[in-house]
Amino acid sequence: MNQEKTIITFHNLEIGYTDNTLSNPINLSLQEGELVALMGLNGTGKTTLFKTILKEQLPLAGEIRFKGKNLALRDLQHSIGVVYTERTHIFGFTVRDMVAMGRMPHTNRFGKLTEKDNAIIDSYISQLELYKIENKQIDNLSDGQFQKVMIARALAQETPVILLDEPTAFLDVKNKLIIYNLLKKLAKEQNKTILVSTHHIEFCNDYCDKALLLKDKKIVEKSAIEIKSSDFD
Amino acid sequence: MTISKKIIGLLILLLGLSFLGVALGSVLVSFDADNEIIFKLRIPRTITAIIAGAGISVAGLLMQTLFRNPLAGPSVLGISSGSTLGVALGIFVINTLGISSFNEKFSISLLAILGALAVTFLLLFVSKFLKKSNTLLIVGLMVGYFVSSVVNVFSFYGDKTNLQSFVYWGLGSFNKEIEYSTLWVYYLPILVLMFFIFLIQKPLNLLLMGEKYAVSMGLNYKRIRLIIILIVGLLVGIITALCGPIAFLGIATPHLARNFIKKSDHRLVIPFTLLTGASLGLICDIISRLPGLDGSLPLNAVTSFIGAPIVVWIIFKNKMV
Repeated sequence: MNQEKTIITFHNLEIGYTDNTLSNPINLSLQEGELVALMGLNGTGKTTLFKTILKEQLPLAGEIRFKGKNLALRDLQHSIGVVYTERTHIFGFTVRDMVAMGRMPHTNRFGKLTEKDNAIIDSYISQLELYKIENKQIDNLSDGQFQKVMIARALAQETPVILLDEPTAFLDVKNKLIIYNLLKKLAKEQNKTILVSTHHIEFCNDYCDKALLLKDKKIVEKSAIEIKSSDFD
Repeated sequence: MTISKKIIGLLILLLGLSFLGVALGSVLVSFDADNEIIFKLRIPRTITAIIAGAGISVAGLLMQTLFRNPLAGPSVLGISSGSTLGVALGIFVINTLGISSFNEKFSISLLAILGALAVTFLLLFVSKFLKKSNTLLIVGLMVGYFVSSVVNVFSFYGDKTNLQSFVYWGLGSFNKEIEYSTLWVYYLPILVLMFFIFLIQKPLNLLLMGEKYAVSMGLNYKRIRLIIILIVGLLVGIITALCGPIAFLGIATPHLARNFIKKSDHRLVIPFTLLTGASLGLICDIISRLPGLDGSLPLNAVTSFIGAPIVVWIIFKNKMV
């Protein structure tokens, strides 16, 4: 393993709650440019691991290192982007407004967008084929369209790591494939590390570089193509 | 209509209403340079309506953004009730004990501010132990009920004169028979707080996304929550001190502003809420003292008459039933 390419390291990490430890100590790492599937049955700790990475929840023991250092909360915005499953309702927000929110960590104190910001927003609106609904209110979008917009927003944040919590849960087959291909392209061409919580074995097998399997209160690192439905028995 | 045309339209409306505010009243007067009714009564009353209407409305906007709840308003967190408790303490307890002359407007105002700040700091203390803003909203409601019950006990045991004085204050009014020099003691901090709100428009926009997304995009959530609660506490305390509790404007105005521009971006919503709130304050004030009325209608009766239907409309529009 090339140490220089390691971006996130779980070091003796224990997650969960004091009365319910969800995992034995985790010692593994994620590399730059990797597309990783986080898999496991409901309740096995996928969301808890995300919360711990995002500092919403403290680890019970151990630590998470970002490029070899402890990540301060204030640095999170430039390091890790995130897409949650739940829908956010905002009156009077267009698709473009929402994608533009991803640029907020890069703007001045008044949130003024520069030409560079607008170019990046245009780029992701185009890449995710959102240009036809660019001026549509987000409250009028289908669940699938909304999820694509939130992914575009996370991408516009331009962080080296992106976490996606079941990002294609509401998408039809066509849109799923668009997202899968885009995630793979971003990992390979832009060297992004992308951790996707998912239940889709085909996505893991066909698109991901590796899988983290949460089972029996342990996380096991496996090759993506090795994951099969019997792993979840 | 473009945003700039809308803002010009609102400015013209505000100017027109300001003129009406000065011209209309229970008696018709001429615009002479030495007309005491205009310069000592109507102009300060009009300025108070503008500043208080704008201030209470933008306080409502901050709370709706913080709690991501369309029905949040200055009275919901119990801050208005804190002001009322301060005034009740002044009128019923300290005045009865004869420690000081608390029927004087300024002393009552000071106690209203202290009451609002006391509730604000209590909420700040409680908020340290709460993770979710909606929980704080419920705590605020309970604080409001608790404080109101204490005020009711004071009212029950208070003597008739004090009770009358307290009820009159509670009706609310923009009519302040106070010198300009004293009015600026109220106006200046309100204007400074309004200016400060423009400096936090980016964090306010991030809050629209919800706490989790906002934090992931660099928002120091606890700090901005503290700043918002402090601004709201001070604004509501000072305005309530000046005009008495003002119902519904804080809840209704931000919705009118957002629906007018069809945007939630605070870079636009803040100025539109200020202008709409100032205009609504003036409209309520003008209605309360239309020519032919004997004296003024209670301000709270007028703001509720206009604000309550707007709040019901919000509930139906957002399919909250």
